[in-house]
Amino acid sequence: MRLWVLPVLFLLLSIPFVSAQNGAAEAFIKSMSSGDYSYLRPYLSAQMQSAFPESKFRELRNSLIEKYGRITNISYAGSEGGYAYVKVNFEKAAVTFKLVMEGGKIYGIWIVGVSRSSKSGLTPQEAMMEALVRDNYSLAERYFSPLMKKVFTKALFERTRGMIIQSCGEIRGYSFERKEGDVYYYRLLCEKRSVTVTVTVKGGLIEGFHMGFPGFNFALPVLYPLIGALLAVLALWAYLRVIKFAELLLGMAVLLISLVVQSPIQAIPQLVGAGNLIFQIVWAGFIAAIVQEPLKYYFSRDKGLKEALYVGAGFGLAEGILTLGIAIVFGGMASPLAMLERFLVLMFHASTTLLFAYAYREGWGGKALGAMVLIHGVMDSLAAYWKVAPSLGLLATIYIITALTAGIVLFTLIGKAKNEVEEAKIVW
Amino acid sequence: MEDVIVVTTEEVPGYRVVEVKGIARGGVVRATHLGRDIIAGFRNLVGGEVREYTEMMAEAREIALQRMIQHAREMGANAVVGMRFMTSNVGQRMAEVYAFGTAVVVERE
Repeated sequence: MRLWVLPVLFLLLSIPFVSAQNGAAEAFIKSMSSGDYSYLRPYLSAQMQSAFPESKFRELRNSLIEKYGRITNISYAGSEGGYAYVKVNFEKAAVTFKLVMEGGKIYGIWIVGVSRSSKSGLTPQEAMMEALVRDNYSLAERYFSPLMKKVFTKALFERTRGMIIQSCGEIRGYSFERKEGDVYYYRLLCEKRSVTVTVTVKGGLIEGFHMGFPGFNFALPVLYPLIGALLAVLALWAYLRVIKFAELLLGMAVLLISLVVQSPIQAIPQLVGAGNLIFQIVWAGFIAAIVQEPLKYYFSRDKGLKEALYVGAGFGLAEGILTLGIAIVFGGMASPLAMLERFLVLMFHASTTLLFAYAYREGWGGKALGAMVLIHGVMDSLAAYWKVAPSLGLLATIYIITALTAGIVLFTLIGKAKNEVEEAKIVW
Repeated sequence: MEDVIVVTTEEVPGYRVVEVKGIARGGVVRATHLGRDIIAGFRNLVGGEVREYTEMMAEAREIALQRMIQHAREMGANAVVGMRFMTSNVGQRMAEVYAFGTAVVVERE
C-alpha cells in the first residue's frame, strides 16, 4: 500500500467523528440560545439524559442568565481530542463549556472558563488573563510590578498575543488549573487548541508571565530556523565541496557543554535579586560570549581549517535544532526572518572557529578569541535588549554586525580553507 | 644528525654493537574527539573498518616511535635493536601505545 494512502484514510475516517462533534455542539448551541432542551436531548448519552434532564438544563441556563445577564452570542470554539468547546457570551461574562464526546454523544458538560466583562473585582492573575482574552493591555498593566512594566511592554504584550493567535487560533477564554506557590496556572482556550500559561503574582503585583507547554506544535513556520541553518551548511558544502560530519557532531556537543555552563551563570542576577534591567541584559549577553567562544576556541584551534570551520557550523546547526525544539515544545512561532537569522548565525559561528584555527597557527589565537568574545557579547546583548524593546532598527543592526563579522572572516579565510592541503592519513 | 637505525632484530646486519646505552622508550596516550567517536559508533553498528580508530592508532604508533628515537638520540645511541610496540587501554576510547627497544652504538663491520 502506498504511504500517502494512510493520511488520506485517516482524514476520511476522521470526518464522521468531527461531524458528530460539531453536530452535538450545534445542538447544545441551539438549546442554550433558545432554551429548548429538545435539540440537545438526542445528543446526550443515556447516563447524561438521566443526570442532566430538562429541569437541570433550565436550572443551569437560568442561573447563568441571572448571574451574568442575557445571552448575546454563542459560538463553537473548536475541539480538542474527545472534547468540543462552546463559548456563550452573556452581557457580563463569557462562559466556555467543554463537552465530553464519545461516538457522537455527549457524556459530560463542564464549565471550564468564565471571562468576566467587568473590570472590577479582578485579581491580578485574572486581570492578566482578561487582558489576553480581550486584547486590553491596560487591564493587566495596573497590576504589573515595576520590572514587569519595563520588560512586558505593550508592544511585547501584543506580539505575544499575536503569537498565541497565530499558533493556536483566536483566544476564546480561559480556565484556572492550579496554583503552585506564587505561580498561577491557567489554560488559555483558543480556537484550534488550548495552551497553558502561568502568571506569577507576588505581593498583589504581577511579577511574571510565561507560556507553558501547549503540547507539540508542528506547523511549517517552526521549521524556519532549522531550514536557515541547513541552508548555511549547504552553502559551506557547496563552496568547499567537502563536509566533515565528525566535526559537525563535535560542534553540536560543544553547544551542549556551553549551555550547561552558561545557563546557571546567566541566572545569577535574577537569583540574587539584581533588578537593573540593563545589567541583566549585558550580563546575559556577555556570559554567553565568555562561555561559548573559549569553548569553541579550545575545540577548534589545533584543527585543520576545514575541520575547524565545521566545528563552528555544527555549533550553529545545534542552535538551529534547539530553536526548533523550543518552538515545538513551547509553541513558539517563527517568521521567515528566522531563516535569515539562523543562516547568519551559523555563518558567524563557522567563521569564528575558522578564524581561531588560523590565528592559533599564526600565533595570535588569544587576540582572535578576545575580539570574538567582544563582538559576540555585543551581539547577544543587543539581541537580549531586542527581546525587551523590539524594534526593526535594532534587529537590522544585529543582523548587520553578524553578517559583517561572518562576511569579513569568511571572505578572507575560506579560500585558504578550501585550498588547504590535508595531511596524508597515516593508516599503516 | 645521522638517522637512528631502528630494527626489530637483535642485531643490525653489516654493523656490530660497540656499546649498549640502555632502554630507549617512547609512549603516547591518544583519543579522538567526540564527533569521531559518534561516527565510529555508527560504523560499529554497520560493521566494516572503523577508519577513525585505524587512523588514531596509526598516528599513536608513529608518535611513540618518534619519541623512542628521540630518546635514543638523547642517550647518545645511533641504533635501536629489538624494538617492540606495546598497547593498552587507558580509559574508554583512549589507547596507550608504547615503543621500546635497546639503544646501542653500532659501527660498520
